[in-house]
Amino acid sequence: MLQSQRKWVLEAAKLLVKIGGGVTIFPPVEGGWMNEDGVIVWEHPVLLYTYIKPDAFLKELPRLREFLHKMGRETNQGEVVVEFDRFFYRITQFNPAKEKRHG
Amino acid sequence: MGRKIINTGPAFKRLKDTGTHFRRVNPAEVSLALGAQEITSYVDVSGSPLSLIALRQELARRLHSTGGRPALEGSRRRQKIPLTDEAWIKLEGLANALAKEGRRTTPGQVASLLLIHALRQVESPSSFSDIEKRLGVSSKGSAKKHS
Repeated sequence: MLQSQRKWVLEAAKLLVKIGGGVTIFPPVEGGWMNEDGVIVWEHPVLLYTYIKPDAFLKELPRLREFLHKMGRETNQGEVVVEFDRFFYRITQFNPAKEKRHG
Repeated sequence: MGRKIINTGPAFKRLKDTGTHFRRVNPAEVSLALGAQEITSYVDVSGSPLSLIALRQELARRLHSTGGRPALEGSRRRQKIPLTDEAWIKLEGLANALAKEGRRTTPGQVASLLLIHALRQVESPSSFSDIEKRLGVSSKGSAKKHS
């Protein structure tokens, strides 16, 4: 299970509210995936969704990108997937963290 | 062996959605914005066009070569299908557009893929009378001539 999964769920939820005006968060479900050693890693994924408002969705795309890449990077994911309008968008290469400017 | 069930219930009028229609966002646009490396189309929804991106990926998946011209995986039949000039020009345009993205295909291969997707969206009719009406075929099996 992701460390501090709740933190990511809430961050994703806040973003989805901006995109769709609301969000639905499912209770954790059971799931698993096979790792390189052929061992099934069991998890409790949390699924969230929103019905987008088109203008808000397009406007928030950069923030959505930033969130997805940040989550993939900081939680060491092999892949982050977004489902939208009948398509799966797979992100396997994550943008580097933005450098903080001081002063 | 079970008997076929024929639906003899009333046919209802099709509801028309007169609400606001939003423009469809191009998957390529979303992919670029999200920094995604791959797009997979997972559901074919009736009436929705296949995007060029999804078409290209599907072709990439199905086309394979055993030494000669790449062939579509699973395609065994060579059927003649009537087409309008307009449809053929459109298919040539799609094949050219895909070639520009590095995927060489023929208009026939594009047509084959589009037809397979379109067929998936056709619901199995509870009776064939709807299809007969659309084709102008009588129940005796011969096509009606239209003047």
